[in-house]
Amino acid sequence: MPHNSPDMAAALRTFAEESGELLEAMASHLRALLEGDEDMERLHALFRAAHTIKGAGGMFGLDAVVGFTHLVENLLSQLRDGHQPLTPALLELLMDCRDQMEDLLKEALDDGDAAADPALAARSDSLGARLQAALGNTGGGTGGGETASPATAPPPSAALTPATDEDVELERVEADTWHLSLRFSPGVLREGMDPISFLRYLESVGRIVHIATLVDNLPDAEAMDPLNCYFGFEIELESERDKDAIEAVFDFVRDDCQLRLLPPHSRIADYIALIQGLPEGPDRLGEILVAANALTRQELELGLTHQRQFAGQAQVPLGEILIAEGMTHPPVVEAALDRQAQAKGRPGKDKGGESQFVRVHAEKLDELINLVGELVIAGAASHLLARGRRDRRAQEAALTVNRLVEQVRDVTLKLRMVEIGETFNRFHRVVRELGRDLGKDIALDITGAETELDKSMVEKLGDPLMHLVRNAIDHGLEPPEQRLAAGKPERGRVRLNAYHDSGGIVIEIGDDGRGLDRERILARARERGLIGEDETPSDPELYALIFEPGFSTAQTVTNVSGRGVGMDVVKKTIAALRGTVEIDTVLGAGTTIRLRLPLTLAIIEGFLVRVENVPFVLPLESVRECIALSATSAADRRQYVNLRGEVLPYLRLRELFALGGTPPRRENIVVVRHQGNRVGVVVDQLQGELQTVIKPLGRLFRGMRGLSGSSILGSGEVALILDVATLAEIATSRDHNRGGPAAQLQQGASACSTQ
Amino acid sequence: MSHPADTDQPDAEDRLRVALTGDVDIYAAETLKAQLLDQLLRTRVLELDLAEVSLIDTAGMQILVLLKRTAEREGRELRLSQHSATAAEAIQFLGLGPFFGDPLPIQPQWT
Amino acid sequence: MAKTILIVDDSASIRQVVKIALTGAGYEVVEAVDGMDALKKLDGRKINLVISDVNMPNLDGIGFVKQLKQKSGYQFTPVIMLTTESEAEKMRQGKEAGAKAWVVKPFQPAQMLAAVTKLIQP
Repeated sequence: MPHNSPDMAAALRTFAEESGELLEAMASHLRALLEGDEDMERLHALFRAAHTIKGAGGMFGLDAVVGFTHLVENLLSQLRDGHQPLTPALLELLMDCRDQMEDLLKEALDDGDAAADPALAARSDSLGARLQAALGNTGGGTGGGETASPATAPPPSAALTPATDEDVELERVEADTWHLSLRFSPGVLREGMDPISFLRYLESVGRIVHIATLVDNLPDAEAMDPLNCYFGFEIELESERDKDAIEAVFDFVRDDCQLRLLPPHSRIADYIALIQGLPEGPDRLGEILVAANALTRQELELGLTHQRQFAGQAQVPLGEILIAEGMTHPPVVEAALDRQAQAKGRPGKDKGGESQFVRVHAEKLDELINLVGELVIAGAASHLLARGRRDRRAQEAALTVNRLVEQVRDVTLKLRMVEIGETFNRFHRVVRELGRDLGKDIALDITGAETELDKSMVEKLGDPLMHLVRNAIDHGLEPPEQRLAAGKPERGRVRLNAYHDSGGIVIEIGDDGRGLDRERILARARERGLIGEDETPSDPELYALIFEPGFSTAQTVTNVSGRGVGMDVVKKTIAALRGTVEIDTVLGAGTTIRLRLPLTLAIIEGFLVRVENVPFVLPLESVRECIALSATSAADRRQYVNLRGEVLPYLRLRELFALGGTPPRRENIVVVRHQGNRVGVVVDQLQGELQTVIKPLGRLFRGMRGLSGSSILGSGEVALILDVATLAEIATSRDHNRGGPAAQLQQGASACSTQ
Repeated sequence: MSHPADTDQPDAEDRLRVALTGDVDIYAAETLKAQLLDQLLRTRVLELDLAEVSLIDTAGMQILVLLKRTAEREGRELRLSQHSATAAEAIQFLGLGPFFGDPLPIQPQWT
Repeated sequence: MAKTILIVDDSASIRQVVKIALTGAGYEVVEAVDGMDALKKLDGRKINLVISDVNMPNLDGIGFVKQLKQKSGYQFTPVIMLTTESEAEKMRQGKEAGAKAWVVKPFQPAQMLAAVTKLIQP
């Protein structure tokens, strides 16, 4: 057993945890079934648990566990598919089997190499024999349910033999959603039929979990006819309705579309047949289905591998089964099979099922990133040096090195980028459980799951997101009766969304609940003395108060939230990550909390400017353009200029940070953009683009408005990185020349330059 | 469904901003294709302001996809900005957010 | 902006029922009593969907749809046709004229609303 590598050992620990949870779950399902709860979903869950333990145990070579669990799984599969009635005796047997699985796992995980306990093995044998006997009962004999025995109505799935690993064709996918695959005829739009409308109507028969729009068939600009339909759609639908009801959505376009429909838990083989029958090809569609959670990667690999192994003989049975189940119309299958044959005629471009990933320890990555950071600085220094020497060849060489360093840096940073989807997905369970506890029916919508950010950021976001989601569920969403009374759907919605904006990531937590009550917050703020009786704060100012320590307007305290603990922690955590929190709320319609964060804490593309020879760095992605500040504009004391007919408010860094000195004859305005607002930043000199490693702000600067970090330039100088969000806020607010951070910077700057 | 440019000429940094208004639908598709392709090919960055878009249907979305792909092929850039609620929702609904890659905030009234 | 639906039927009660169902769902409804009237009612205004009976005096549904599909600004407008019984021949003609969606009378208001919502959302 190759448990000696650290990665395997770590994976084994994960398996130990996972199997522990699964066994717990099995116990509670079995108990519920014994107590008379006849929820079929419990059998599904039991089957999946056993299936996972067997499958994962196999990876670690835990043969005793696998062999025994295999039998348990078979029995569960029969029960799940209704081929055997679920009797109390069988439940007792399953309970014993679960305990045996637990013991076997414990033995295997504690000392995998020690000699097996003979008593345990003996129990496996005796329970195994009872399982075999129970499995043999399928055809009839005991229970009273044999009237609908498989002999008279053989369901295609399990009629032949109990499912085994060899029967890949019978292996079913985990996904409990319908899969719809839609392709339209080119002329459908001219008929006044808009595919998007039908997709929207689909929401009336279920909940759309995922849509992938396929744009592959859109031709080049020249060949593209704007009136033709080129899009295709792959959809995951959660629905209690039957196949006819779902098909009926598309009845008006029946002649104009190809609809393929796979029910929940379809066979992997059916999915494989589906993707092979479509024009985009199995590789591309396979990826789409995995991304949509219709198939797991393992299922896809399994299916494709099997298909390859049995190429030739597999086509015909698959097609026949599709028709036999009424999944699809014969002509469609014929067409699909034709395509499949064509595809097989071509030499396969598959690279075999080999995995394309290497696992690397996060620490090694961090080390690499650090080194690259240093390299960036060293590169900048050598470039400066070469420029000073006026040696053309040295300059060229330095440029080449810089370009390469830049590429290395980009690639290195990408290594640590992960999709936020995994973090988001963890909230499905939170939402379900909290919803249940609070008696609220809640749907969680996740968008932007593909948005990437640095792994180190992801780790730090877990807690704040948890607070915000809990808060949305507990405070945001009203109880069902209130929702109905307000004319809203009973089911509340929570949404997690992410996207990239101005070089950072934005994460949104939205709910369609009651929205923030301005009056109540105001009253509470006055009560707590945060706001004077005669003050009337703006919405953002007021809403920001909910992040104050101990501030809660909840009228009842639940055990979920409402004690005013948490929201201030959220704000602190986000601020520590150089992020900001915004609130969008509409009374009665919902609240969205928006977190803006940098993608990484490591490196920034910057634009270097100087004021009184103090270097400042603006994040390059926010810089729009540079213009000269004309002497006449500079002379009058207005704080804005006319930029191509638009008013551009600006601020002087000289004044903001009280740098003193006299402005040069010609000042420059760097136009930066933040959330759609443009503002000008007035500086003395423009020095161009640079890439630089962000260091945290020294103690002196911390908490100072307008700065987000510092950095060491190639020359060894300390440059201050400007926080565009704050600058924009200062420039657009009326009272920005009241100053603030000025006095502190004086000290800070001198402290810096003496280093 | 008129779609005049804010300014007809790219700015100093070779960016052109065009506001789309009304229904970006099949009735507008032919005009939009011709006009926007032409504008895309005259500038480095074409920014489409979607603030006043009241509807996007399949034909309209196809035009946006065509522009995005053409821009990539030609080494240019297409940005969609200031999405109206309808525009943002349509892009989200079809799962095309990552394809376009533009920021898509949750709308205040997103249900 | 609410989407506008043109309902063309010579039966006032049918128009009324349809109108109640559709306005209740957030659509604007314009009524016309037959094909000729419908052509007049178009008047260059934006129509997002047409519901038309087949059997009507003056200009019947098929003739009306044929003309509609020739008019600029309406050629891609979706059409739902209403038939009384299973009129296979009429249906063939209608489809040829460009009407893909059919609803058979008598229908429940909810059925009509469902048919409309498949094609356009309010």
